[in-house]
Amino acid sequence: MDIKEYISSGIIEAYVMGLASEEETRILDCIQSNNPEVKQAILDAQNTLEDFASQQAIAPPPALKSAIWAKISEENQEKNEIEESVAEPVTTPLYPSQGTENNKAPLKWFAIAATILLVASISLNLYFNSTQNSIKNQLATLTIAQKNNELAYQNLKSKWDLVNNPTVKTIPLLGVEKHPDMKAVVYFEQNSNDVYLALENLPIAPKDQQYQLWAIVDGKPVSLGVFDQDAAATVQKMTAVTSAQAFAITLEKRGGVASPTMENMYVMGKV
Amino acid sequence: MLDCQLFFYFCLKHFNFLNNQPKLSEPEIISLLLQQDEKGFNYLYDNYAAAVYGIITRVVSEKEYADEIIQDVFVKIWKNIAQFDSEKGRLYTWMINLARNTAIDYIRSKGFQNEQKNQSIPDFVNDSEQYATAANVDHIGVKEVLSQLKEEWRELIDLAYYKGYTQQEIAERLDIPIGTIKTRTRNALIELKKLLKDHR
Repeated sequence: MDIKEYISSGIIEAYVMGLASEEETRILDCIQSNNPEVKQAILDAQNTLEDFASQQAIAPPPALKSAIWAKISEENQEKNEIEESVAEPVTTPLYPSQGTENNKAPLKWFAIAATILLVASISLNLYFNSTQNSIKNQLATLTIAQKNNELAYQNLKSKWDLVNNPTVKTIPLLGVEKHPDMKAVVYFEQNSNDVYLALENLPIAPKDQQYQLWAIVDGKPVSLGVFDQDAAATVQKMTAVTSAQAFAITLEKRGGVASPTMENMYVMGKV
Repeated sequence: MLDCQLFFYFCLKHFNFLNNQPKLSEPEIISLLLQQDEKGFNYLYDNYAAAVYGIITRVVSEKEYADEIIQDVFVKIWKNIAQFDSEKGRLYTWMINLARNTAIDYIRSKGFQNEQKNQSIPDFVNDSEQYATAANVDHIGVKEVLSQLKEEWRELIDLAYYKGYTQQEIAERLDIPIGTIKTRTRNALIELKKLLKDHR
């Protein structure tokens, strides 16, 4: 089934209204993370229901807000009490059992001081815990950002190195009549005959398909392998080739095929 | 006299300040909630409680139940915020579904159904009427969107969205093929989208 047909089958609406079966939901969860068109359709439908909810809003009785906050605070309290009771045993041995009338007064002060210390320690703990959590979160975000930057840098650098290498010839592959905006670039190392490929503007291939690079040698297509779009590298080394007259890219089933499917040709460029 | 003016000015400023509550983005709200910050609750409640209450009220039709369920819903949001997955949609959608499911679970629960049986019918009718009016009063100048939908679409949204029937159940209940239910659901939502756009 093609994707437009799938979207208009009513499944998206069933999904956002919570009517889809468990299996349908699982399938759609999977499709939406891979297909921007389906994802957009879902977001649109959810948007409609959000607008609908806003339009159908009814103000709740004003007293409810504080009642709900009281409930939430109560739950938080219970959680904290469990934490406190864990800390308790530490203070228990501080009460000596052989106490006499005389040392009861200092003991009382000692108990009060200990309680104050305990409360202070717990609140400090909670405070540090929350700061630590927020720092951890920040760190995680920064690490991800750093990794992405590193990757982008590596990709740019490998392109830059190729472009600046005098023995490397840059061959732009431009969109064929059917796909005029699409573009890819082949970098051809003239000494070693190594071929590198970068997809500049080609849509993400469906899960079960891959872009395959072809060299035209003496008028015949020779496969130079498939481009791995799942890999992070945007410039990939393909099979080496001598004396190619042109390069072209077709969309083929995953793993590539022996001879190109001509109607699935996206871009091509002469050497 | 001057005091009065000053007071008036103060009130005006204060009122404006309340209205100009800064708009928070979803990640900001979520991070406040994760930090168990009361500000997060206040923001969420002030901005979404009416929508949540509207949904619950339409599912259970009665105020006393709605008042009870909205409390559960906000406690659930507070407790389960860590399970919210922004990959699957927005926070607002998540809350809407949570409210709807909690309310639907409630009307399906045994206790609720027994109570309904014992209740005399006129009471129930009165309550829903009272609710229909309440809804209209809340939106002076805005016509009920639902009442502008074609009967077959309105019925479908009511059964599917507010009463939680599956498509199969609706098909059996209305004696219509399930394929028709599917396309009808789609058309109902498309029409709803158009109507909501006009209202904006």
